[in-house]
Amino acid sequence: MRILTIVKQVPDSNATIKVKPDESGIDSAGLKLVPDPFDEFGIELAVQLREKRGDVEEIVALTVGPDKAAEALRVALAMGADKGMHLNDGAFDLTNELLLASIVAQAIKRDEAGFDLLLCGKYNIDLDSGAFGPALAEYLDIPHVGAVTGLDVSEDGKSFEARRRIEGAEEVVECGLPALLTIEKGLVEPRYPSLPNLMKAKKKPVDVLTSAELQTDESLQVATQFQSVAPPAPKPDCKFVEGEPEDMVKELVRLLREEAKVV
Amino acid sequence: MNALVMAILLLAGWGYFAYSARRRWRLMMVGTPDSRWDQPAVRIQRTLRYAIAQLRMRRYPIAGFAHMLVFAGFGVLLLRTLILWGRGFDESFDFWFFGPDHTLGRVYSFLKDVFAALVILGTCVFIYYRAIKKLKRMTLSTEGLVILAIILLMMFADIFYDGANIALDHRAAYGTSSAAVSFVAYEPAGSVAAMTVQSLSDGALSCIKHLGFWTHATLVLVFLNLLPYSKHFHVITAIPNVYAQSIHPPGRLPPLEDIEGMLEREETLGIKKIDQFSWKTILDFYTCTECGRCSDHCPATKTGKKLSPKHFTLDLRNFLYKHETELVSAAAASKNGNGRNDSDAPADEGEQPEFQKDLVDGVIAPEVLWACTSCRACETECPVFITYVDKIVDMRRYLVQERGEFPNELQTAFRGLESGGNPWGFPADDRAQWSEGLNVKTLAEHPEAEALFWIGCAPAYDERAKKVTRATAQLLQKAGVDFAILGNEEQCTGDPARRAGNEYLFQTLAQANVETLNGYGVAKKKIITTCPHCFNTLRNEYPDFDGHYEVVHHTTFLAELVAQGKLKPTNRIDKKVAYHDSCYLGRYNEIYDAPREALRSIPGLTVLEPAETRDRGMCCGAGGAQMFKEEESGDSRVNDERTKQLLDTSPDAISTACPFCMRMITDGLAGQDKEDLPQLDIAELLLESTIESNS
Repeated sequence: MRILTIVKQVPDSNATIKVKPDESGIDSAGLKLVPDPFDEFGIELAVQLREKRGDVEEIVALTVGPDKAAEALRVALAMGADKGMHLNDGAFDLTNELLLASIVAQAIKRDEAGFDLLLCGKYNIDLDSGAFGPALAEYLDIPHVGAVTGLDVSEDGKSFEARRRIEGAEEVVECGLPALLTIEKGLVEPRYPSLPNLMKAKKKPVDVLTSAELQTDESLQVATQFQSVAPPAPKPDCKFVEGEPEDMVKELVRLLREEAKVV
Repeated sequence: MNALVMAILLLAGWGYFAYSARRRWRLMMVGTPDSRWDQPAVRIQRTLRYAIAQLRMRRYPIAGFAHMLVFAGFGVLLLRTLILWGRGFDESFDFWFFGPDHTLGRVYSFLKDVFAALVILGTCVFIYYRAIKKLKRMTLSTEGLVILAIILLMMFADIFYDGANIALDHRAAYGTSSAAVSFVAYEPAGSVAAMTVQSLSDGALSCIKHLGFWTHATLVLVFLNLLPYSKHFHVITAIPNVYAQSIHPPGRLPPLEDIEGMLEREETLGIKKIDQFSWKTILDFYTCTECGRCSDHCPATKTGKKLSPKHFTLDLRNFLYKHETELVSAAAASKNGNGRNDSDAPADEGEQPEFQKDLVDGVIAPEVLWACTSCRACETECPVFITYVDKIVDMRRYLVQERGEFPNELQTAFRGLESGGNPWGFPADDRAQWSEGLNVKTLAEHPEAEALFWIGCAPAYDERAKKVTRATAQLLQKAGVDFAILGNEEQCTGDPARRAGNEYLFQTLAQANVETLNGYGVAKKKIITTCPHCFNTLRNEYPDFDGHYEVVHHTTFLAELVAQGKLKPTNRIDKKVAYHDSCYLGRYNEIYDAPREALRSIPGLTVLEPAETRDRGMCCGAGGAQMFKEEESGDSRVNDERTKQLLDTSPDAISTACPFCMRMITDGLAGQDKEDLPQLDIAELLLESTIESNS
């Protein structure tokens, strides 16, 4: 079995995001970037499958992004992936998920041995968008199961049973491989890569692919068009009413009537 | 006496002892090198205080006093043993000056008798503790009683040897019909023994004399040969172990040098195998007397966790002894080959002999390592200066950095430290939010400030601790202190990462902080901080990373400001306040008085001391990165037990001087349905007492 796990580099969820003054994007100066936590579930799942099963021959980690995105790849390699694929070209517009999926599909098709299982997060936390996984499955013409919370791969490695939460119930899906799964939080807990593994990750092979090898389909340029980005409006300050309960009620009614003008 | 028998006895006794001693020496040398010979003056002073004067023994007054008697007795009786061995060859042997005709001999004879009696007294105390009271802290083995019996027998044999001798001499001088033996001042025990045996026949007396002589002469050698194989090895190893103790501040953990290079050379980051401990650690194992003072005060042991410091040492020692032969030959082989066998070739992982296996797989359970709060109660108690925190952290280092195995919650802390410079992963940009409206400048804005107010993560982000930070800043402003903060340039000192075993992450943070601090010339300023963990790391650990600063905890600094009259606490606070010692202030840095002085400077305020206080103050349960993980399972929670101790003083309020303690005691109070009992930092109380008088 060969597993491909896709990882995107995104801003850390605790980082303060600053928008560029012209609203053309977020200011990346000094911004802490990390592998997407949902994509990390995919990497962890791949590594755990190898630890549990004897038939996982290779785990390949793939990322799309600038030079810096190699760091995300390195984390995947330190967690246990065997080699990396880095799709690095300014033409790969990271906000257009359909375009990205078509490019990644081409990269996957170049791999002659082929993959049995493709894994990525149910969405990415940077743009909160989840189109990439299903779109990639479409381009590769393989089935896809989204937001997986439980997984049993059959002993012969030819099919699997996946569980996913739906409104008020749990859905159990049976499906043959190859297939693409997007992973929901809770299925696995990503490991903290050990230092020796981080060092070893530096020596693992990474193939770099650019627009010289991968075509950008111009018709897809319009699939998603980036307009602008703006910071959310600041929350108005809370007002605390203090004092004895009776006075507090009076003051609250006064505020609602005179300042908020809602009663 | 028979010279041949004595010669054989001495040769056999000392010969076998030499063999045992060589075995123990070679096993000790299996350990890694560790230089412990610098600053001999300090070391000699400590040896005199703690090994000879046995100052730490006083902490358990009765057992300690009994031990001092036995120790002093052994010292005095050493000469007597040598004299007796000499008498095996020449019955009148007395080292020329120690015969009954010399003043020196009489003085010594008196001392010897007195100390023999005191040793008997001390030994009786020990027998009482072992056989009757059965103290829980001790390992109640037969071995202990056998040794005590040997000591008693040696003392009585010696006294009755003297007694029979005196009686026989008396008879030879005055004949059988003469007056009875009378009490001799310079032979008090001997002459009393003589009085009890004088009615016996010559033959019987001679028999007692010989029996006493040979019993004593032989038992000393038996005792000597039992030492290397028993907990009584401390008789030999305690003095060198005290001499070779770490003379660095206890708050400094030895750094892993050149981690990147270690990784390239495939050396273990931390302790994985028994022979990766240093020779000094092995000497610690030899020296442990199983007295259990460590575990008696360990907050983990007291709350039913799997960790007991004594058993940690014993488990490692037993493992070491069990694999003595293999370890010694492996060390000899690697010495002749290409250096130490430090790397782990994954190919032969499956066939590794037991002695080369991971200590955490079978010898020390991970739950044992993760239960330690690094409070140093054990190390403060140990009379022979055995250390625990460094060993536990070394083993955590291996678990975290090599195996990537640690309590899951710590991953959040590590990732938070990596991304936001604080263990909760709050945005780094919000670090100075606590100071809103206080007009506190950063060093970037005010580089000439005389002091740096180092905030720390909890004081910057934790809602409760922020109030303490604000109170401290207001007090500093009131007192006219010219200070600034680092603002968003400050990062966690790395203390939680380091204590959790993530040395690499600690060093990354330490290097970044030192660079920032040195960039602002902080080496020439004073650093004030409210967090004892920051305080300890900045003061004791940053020197290893080229950061040399004068660091002062806010309680000390505020007490000084009050003493200098720059802060005038005039508002009465009529409260009885129980003060809780922080481990990293107290046991780690011996700051006990300043916080109390600061509290007492407030009119009307009374300081209450819980039953366990100062250097015996029980940990709150947060140290050693426990703050960022779930407590290991046990019978109760450390913070609950500590809170109960504080509540037992019937206080009107509780005062802490550490943001972690504050959080733990807050939770503890909630557990006791005492949420309403005020819990305040010393700075908050001082601010309340000064708030209007100065403005």
